[in-house]
Amino acid sequence: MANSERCFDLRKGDAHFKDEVVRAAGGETLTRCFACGICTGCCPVSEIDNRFRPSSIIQMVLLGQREELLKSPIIWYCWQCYSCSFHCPQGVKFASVVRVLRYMAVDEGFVSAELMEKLHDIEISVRKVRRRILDEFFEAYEKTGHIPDQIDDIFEKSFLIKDSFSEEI
Amino acid sequence: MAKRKKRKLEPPGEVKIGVYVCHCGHNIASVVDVERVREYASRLPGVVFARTNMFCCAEPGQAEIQEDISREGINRVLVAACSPRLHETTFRNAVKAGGLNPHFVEMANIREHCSWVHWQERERATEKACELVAMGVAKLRNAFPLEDRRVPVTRRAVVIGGGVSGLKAAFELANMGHPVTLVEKESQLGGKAVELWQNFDNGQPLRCLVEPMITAVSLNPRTRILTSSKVLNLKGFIGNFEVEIRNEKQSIVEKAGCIIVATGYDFFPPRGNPRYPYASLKRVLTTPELESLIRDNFEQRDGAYNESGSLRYSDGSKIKTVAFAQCVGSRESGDSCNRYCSRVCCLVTIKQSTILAKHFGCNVVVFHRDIRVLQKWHEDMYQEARRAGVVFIRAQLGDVRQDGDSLFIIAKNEVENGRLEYHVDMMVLSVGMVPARDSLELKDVLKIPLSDDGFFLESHPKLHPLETSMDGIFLAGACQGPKDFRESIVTGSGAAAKAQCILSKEELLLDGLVASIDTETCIGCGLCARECPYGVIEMVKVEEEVKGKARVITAACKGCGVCAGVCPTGAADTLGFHEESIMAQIEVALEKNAGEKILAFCCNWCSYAGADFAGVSRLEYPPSLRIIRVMCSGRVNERFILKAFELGAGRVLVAGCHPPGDCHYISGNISFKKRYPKIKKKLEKKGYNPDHFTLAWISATEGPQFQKLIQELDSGLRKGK
Repeated sequence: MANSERCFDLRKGDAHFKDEVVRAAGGETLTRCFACGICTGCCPVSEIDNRFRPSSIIQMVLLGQREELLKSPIIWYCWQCYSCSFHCPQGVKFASVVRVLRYMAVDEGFVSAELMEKLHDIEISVRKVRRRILDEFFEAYEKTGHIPDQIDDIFEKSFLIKDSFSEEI
Repeated sequence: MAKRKKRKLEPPGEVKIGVYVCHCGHNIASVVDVERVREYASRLPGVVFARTNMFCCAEPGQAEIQEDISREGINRVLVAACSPRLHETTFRNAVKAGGLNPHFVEMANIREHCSWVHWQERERATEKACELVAMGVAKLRNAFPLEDRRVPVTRRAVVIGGGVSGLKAAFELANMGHPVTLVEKESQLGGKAVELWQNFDNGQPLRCLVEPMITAVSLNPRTRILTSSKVLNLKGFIGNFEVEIRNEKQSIVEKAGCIIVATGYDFFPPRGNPRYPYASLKRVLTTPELESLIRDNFEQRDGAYNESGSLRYSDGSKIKTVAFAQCVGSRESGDSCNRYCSRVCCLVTIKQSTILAKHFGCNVVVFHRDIRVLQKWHEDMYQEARRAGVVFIRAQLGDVRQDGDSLFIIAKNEVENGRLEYHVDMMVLSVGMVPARDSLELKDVLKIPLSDDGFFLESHPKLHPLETSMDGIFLAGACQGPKDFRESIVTGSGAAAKAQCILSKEELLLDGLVASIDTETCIGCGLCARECPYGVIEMVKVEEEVKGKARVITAACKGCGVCAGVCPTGAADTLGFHEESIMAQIEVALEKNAGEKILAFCCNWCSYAGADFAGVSRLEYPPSLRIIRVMCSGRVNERFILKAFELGAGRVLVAGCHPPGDCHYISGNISFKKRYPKIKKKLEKKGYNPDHFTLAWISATEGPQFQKLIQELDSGLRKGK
């Protein structure tokens, strides 16, 4: 997990790591990065969790930190919204790059295929929860005619309908 | 004050002045009552008539002046219009074409210094305009004709420095047909370029570029090459220099019409600098040292460029990971480093890091602040480096420590906002350029100024980048500031072209605005000779006189008038801005309500231009100001100040260029600054309030500062303090 003090032993770095990423479908744009940090600046995940930073991940790839990166949970935190890719002045498609890293993590045995599937499920569930929260919100609004101010209640309610939620999955 | 004898320079013949008051469309006429100014002017002594004109500078306006010269017989012309800095040359040429001496024109600046800055006070603006015209007329009544100087030219050149730019300049001049002497302090030609391996534009070995130039210059029958030689002394002036050159064997004096300085640069030395304690660690190299290391590695491979193999350090160990540190010695504050960007280090790093990544399979990280590449094709090189896998990280280097055979680097990464640590095999310091060690010595020999950063100072950063403040001495290459190979070549050719402008002529025509020293009133004190920024006043022995007399080397004089500023007797004077004419202006300016006025002496180049800029920007200030233009603040003599207070001036201001470097005449401003406290004391002695006398520095762009200064002086004046 990335934190504010990290150590890169470049002597142990894998110079070919970035070449492999570039060769993989989706990784082609990696070396265009000139480290401006816009990707991190516009990332909705970074906004609420500064452990996750696209620019930091790109730098780790460039510095050949294969093992540290592929075994790290951090590559699974990307939301795949492609916001970074739209904003990047150099046209780096980070969201695609991170998918390459995820497949590499599985291929190279850092993560099991099963875990990857589970993570995929989680993403779907999150989207469903989001939909449900919005449903609850608008329902309450329609009923009362006021903008609901107790958002926490709505959250709780959405999570409580657990049974049907699991069923849908 | 020593007693002054009457000078012999008398204006010739009857003075018949024609006054032309310009409307400048609405620029003047919408504020100033032009008709009233015309009527006022026509009643001034010496004025034959006064006319108004919509645009004096336009062709019909100029034609009218020329017609009046022939039909009405006027022999002086006053144009009340814009700043003389804008159109003085226009009207000088116009009257010259009309048959008058071009110095019989004077301009009253009723636009920049009046209508544009007093647009809310029409009545007072019109009064001021009348007085400005009267001041101009007073100066004209005292004017006398000036002749251009003719100076013969020695049609040879001396080039100091045998590096790339010096070689190019010598080569061009020799090809134009002029004999050239090339002086090089080292035992061989080629300068820094031959010490380095590849050029960064296309990877060609620099030797392949420089050797043919050396051969071409050496083989040219018009060149004389003096290696292991130094310039020891310089005498003379534009067109007529005598350069003393010495080497181990001999001392030579070369005559030359002009001199090209191309003494180049040195690399910034990081070792021993407190800012870079890690520079002395093992496996920390500078970029030129890495250049040699790469060259040695290629030579060991028999020059096989594409064969990959490891980079080997001088002790034979393999280097796999390299970190570059950018801006070493550049873009820093503090005494131990330079403020400027050295312009080439980014590209040197890009070139070297690409080679390391591509041909030696190295893992390369570049710690930088920004990557600055200048030429249009350099961006491609930057892209190529990134494609080759060089990682550019925006980071501030913290500490670097030795860790066995490798290095441990701590850097604060700006994008990641965290302290990161890196282990690498080798670190390269991308060092910038500093002025060549001996430029200080040479500066004293050639009497050309250095800029704050120690490089030779060009006479104007945009308009005259190859000239120095000394006419006939030009700059080429990195002695003026960091330059790459290509720019050195460009400036070498450019300096040769500037030299050709002199050497192509048998004689030079220089303007007549020079100092003259009246031998009868000169008391031989030698003050002028000491203060002359160009050292062109000499003391000559005269029979029966103990102290001798000062004499101006007219051909070398630049007309600043510092000599006239310091002269205790008024023997030294400047033609075009001579004492009588300035005294006459002071008298007229202070004729009415002297106590309510600010009388200012502004130097032509900075402060007068700064006042013009305030006008152009329409920055209002009180109309109590009367400006007298002088070429340099150093020309202002204490007699002017005393005279102004004698006449009851409310405030007196002297404004010049910012010291030390801004003066158009090297150090005229500093000369006046030295006199300033003494004049204050003298004022106090005579019973005037010394606080009413102010010295200020205003640059040509400081319109707002000029406005503020005048506002402050005026409010002080009104409060009666």
